[in-house]
Amino acid sequence: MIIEILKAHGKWVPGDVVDVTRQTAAALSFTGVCRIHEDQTRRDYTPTPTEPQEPQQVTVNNYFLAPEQVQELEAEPKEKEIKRSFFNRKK
Amino acid sequence: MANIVNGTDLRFYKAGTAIGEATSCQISFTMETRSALTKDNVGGFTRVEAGQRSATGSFQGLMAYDTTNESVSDLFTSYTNGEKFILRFTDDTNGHPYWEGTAMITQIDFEAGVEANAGYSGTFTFDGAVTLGTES
Repeated sequence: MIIEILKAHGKWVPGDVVDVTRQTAAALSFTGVCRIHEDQTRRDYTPTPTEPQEPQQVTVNNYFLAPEQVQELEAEPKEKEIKRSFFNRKK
Repeated sequence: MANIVNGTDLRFYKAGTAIGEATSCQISFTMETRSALTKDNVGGFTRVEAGQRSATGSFQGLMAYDTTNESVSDLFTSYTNGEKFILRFTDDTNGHPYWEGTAMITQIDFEAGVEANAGYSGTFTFDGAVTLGTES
């Protein structure tokens, strides 16, 4: 438990913040030497809530292709021309 | 799922005050055994009975002369005086276990490397039994 010293006690001077057992804190506070420190942060391990982050858009670079070649890959594919033959001719 | 204890919570409290700027601590329990092998229980394996128990504690930390907790000066003074004190290993949380006994400092080391944090380490040796209790 974190305590704040109010009276000089041993090596402690008023204002010192000390980590002691709760039994020691109770004994010292009973005699007016200390009070329970309002900030017990060291003992509080509840993780602070963080805002959820949206997934970021990631651009993957293809380091093996030149930019022009990348554009070619990303371009819409041309429609295949159907070769007309005896077997697929329009009726 | 069980709640795994965060090691940061567990500290040594020497006479009620935490060891200052500690970075780790350890408590060890050992027990010697008595051979109980006789001609009546020979089975190819050793037979033992409980013997003498002992406990030690080790601690490490960063050196800070102005810590309000137990400083290296306080630890050294206790070592020099051969002082025995109540040593508790606990996270000081209601309902949680603690291990407590009378101990003294039997080893203390200071280390100081160039451009590195000065540190200290040491060993507690318990005098007598270490008891398990529950924080309340």
